[in-house]
Amino acid sequence: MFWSLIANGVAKAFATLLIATALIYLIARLFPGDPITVLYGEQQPSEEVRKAIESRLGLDKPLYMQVLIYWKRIFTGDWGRSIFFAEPVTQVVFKSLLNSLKLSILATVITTLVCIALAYLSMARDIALLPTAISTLSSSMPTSVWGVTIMAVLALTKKPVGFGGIGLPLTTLVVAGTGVFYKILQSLLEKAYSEPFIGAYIALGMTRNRIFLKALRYVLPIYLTTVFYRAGLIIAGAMATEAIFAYPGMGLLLLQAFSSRDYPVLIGWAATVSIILATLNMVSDILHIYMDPRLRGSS
Amino acid sequence: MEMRKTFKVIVPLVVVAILLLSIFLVYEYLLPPRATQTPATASTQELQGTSASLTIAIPTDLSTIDIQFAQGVADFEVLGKVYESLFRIVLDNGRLSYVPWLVKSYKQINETAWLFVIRDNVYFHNGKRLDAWDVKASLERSMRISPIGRMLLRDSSGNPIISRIAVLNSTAVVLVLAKPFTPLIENLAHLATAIMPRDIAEKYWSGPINSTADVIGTGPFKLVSYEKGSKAILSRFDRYWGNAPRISRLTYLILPSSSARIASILSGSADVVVGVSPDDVARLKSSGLVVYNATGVRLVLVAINCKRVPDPRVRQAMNYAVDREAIAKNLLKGFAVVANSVVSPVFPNVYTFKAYEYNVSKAVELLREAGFTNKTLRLLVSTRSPKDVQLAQAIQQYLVAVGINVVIEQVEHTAFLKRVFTDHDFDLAIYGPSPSSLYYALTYWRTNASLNGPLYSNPVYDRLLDEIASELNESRRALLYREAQQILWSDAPAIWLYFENIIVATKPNVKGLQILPFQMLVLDNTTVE
Repeated sequence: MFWSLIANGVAKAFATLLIATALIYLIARLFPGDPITVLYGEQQPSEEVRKAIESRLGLDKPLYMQVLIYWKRIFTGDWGRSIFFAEPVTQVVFKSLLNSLKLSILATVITTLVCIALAYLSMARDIALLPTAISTLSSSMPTSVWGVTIMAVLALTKKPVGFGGIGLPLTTLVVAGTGVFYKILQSLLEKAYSEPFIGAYIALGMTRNRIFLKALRYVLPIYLTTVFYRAGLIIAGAMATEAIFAYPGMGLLLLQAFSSRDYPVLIGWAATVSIILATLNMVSDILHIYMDPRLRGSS
Repeated sequence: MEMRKTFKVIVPLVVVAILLLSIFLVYEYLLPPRATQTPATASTQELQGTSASLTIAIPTDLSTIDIQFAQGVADFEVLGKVYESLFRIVLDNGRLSYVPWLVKSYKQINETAWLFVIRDNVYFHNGKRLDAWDVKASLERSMRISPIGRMLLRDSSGNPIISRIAVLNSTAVVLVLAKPFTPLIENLAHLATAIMPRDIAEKYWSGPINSTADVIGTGPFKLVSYEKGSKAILSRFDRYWGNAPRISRLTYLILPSSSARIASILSGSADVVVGVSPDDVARLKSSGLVVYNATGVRLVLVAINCKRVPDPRVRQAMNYAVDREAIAKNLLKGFAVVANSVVSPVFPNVYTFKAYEYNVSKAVELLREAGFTNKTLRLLVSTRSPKDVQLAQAIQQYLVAVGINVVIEQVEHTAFLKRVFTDHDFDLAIYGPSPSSLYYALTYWRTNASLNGPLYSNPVYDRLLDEIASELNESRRALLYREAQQILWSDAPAIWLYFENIIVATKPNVKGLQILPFQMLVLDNTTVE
């Protein structure tokens, strides 16, 4: 069961990787404009200069050949260099990935802790008003609007906005995520509370705290699967949030690589993201099995 | 039993989470920032303010770190602090002029030979002394691969203007021209002809500089670090030959979102913010910030594809159909000057014409005369600037009112550049050139010039440009300039709209800031009190 799951995951990851890189490359290539347009802007290079740059970048070959070459390079580990900044793509992507991982892990952990605390208040302490108010406020605006709002508040109170730092994007993601995830957790818990085994625990005279933990334990696998999904999205790039606060994560990297048609970086981004997402998928499946004894038993 | 299993899962999760959290929090907030200013030890009056740091929020990222490949405003703003050219463009009483800079003196020997004596006390950021070989290599590289350098230093048929650069000794060079070329000095003031060390020019002989370690100029600031999409940090160059700037550390924050830029200055994260929207001026002023409203050279226009709209009467009609005053007043809140010339009047020899006044009936009449009825034109606009999109909607309204159907097509910026300047696949397109000199601005419209997106072509105009280049008599040259501008104005390869003002906001303690009409900040005398 376990190993077949891994094998299945790896196969899926492999396919996703190939499709994702090819797709993003084709989209970027079919979009008008290329790195030479970016380099020369409103000017035009002479035909000979254009040809020279094209052949150096391999843009003179047929499109399917370019895709095949990129695939080969992904697997041979030669991810090339950024067209504009000569830095190796692996290094560029790694830096951004680290920033995004940091953001994603922190946002996920904090959001989860906050949601559990709120759920605890409402389920085990009968304080429903505060959690409801917070979650309604949080889900009243999309993430990007929250980002702008938080920035406006800082500007009005003359608190320095730490552009490029993790503080504000993190706050934004936590604030904007809490509402949705609290609601998911809450409804999962409510469903759990209506299960007969909780009734049995109540009959046994367990304390409310212990019953809350029991219910939490019961819903955690499903809850974590949804949280992991969002964590993956943040790693792939919380584009709007990163752009607002100039946070150098994967989202900003994608925006820049696309607008400057930096193909090697784009491919590197797509490859990394598909590997990460596939891995996360696998991890969340495994975690789900590990945490849900019913699935474990079926092996 | 059940309970213990639950804890086996939750407790480690929580512990790991809290650990990670505290590590990150300590890392981000509690550790002292790594790049803080070392406090000034000297306390004399004279040294006060000399170790000030300045943070400037700019709207666009650098497109390159190679000054000779620089195109955008951000490139020149940042790299223009690192590099210098032989001449410098200065603003004096509202007029631009070109003064010798890395050159101590110069002399025209004959019609086609110019002698330049280079300053002997200039050092590059790597400690090397500037010599004539650096000048030769830099100019040759610029002529060879710099996109703008190729425009500036080549004639209409693509041949280099400078046929030979002869080094006489370590501080003297002679530029031998292929034929007389009067705009030479103003073109040598453009940063696309900036001077870099010879070995770097040769290392990057056929491609752009792509390592920050090789960004070495003679300017007052050197590049410390550049993080793409985030910020560029510069520090004062201690061996700078000229007057040392009062700013010791210069940070450019790249903030494309206009609300982020406004927040950066309101919150105190930035000292200066560039690219302020007219809509935000009142708010910034009421918050006690200083707002500069400077003349700009960026001429915003609607280019008309002359291959698709060949009749000048139709193009003139479009000029009559648009109410520029209303656009400047309403859309730009008065932060624009209606264009009565084809190039900004801050340049010498620019001639101002009778405005195309807003006249719907005249426009309709011209269109009827030309038989241009029931036509639909596609208006291309780049999504990079929200103002341009609003402008496109206004233009659409005006043209519809005279019977021309307009379909607006919004495209991403790189795609826009390709459509307009490479493929010429558009009917109308909104953009705004920012030239460095009158002659350069006029060459945009030369037949087959690479900036000639609308494919305008008039042999008389082309001939006039050649004559200007070779006319040594200044007053006769002024007349030729005037004639060329007259032709362009009435041939109307574009709807001439307005010159955009440059709006910059600073904290009240930032003093002595000067703004060049190219949207470049001059920090020579800037202080932070």
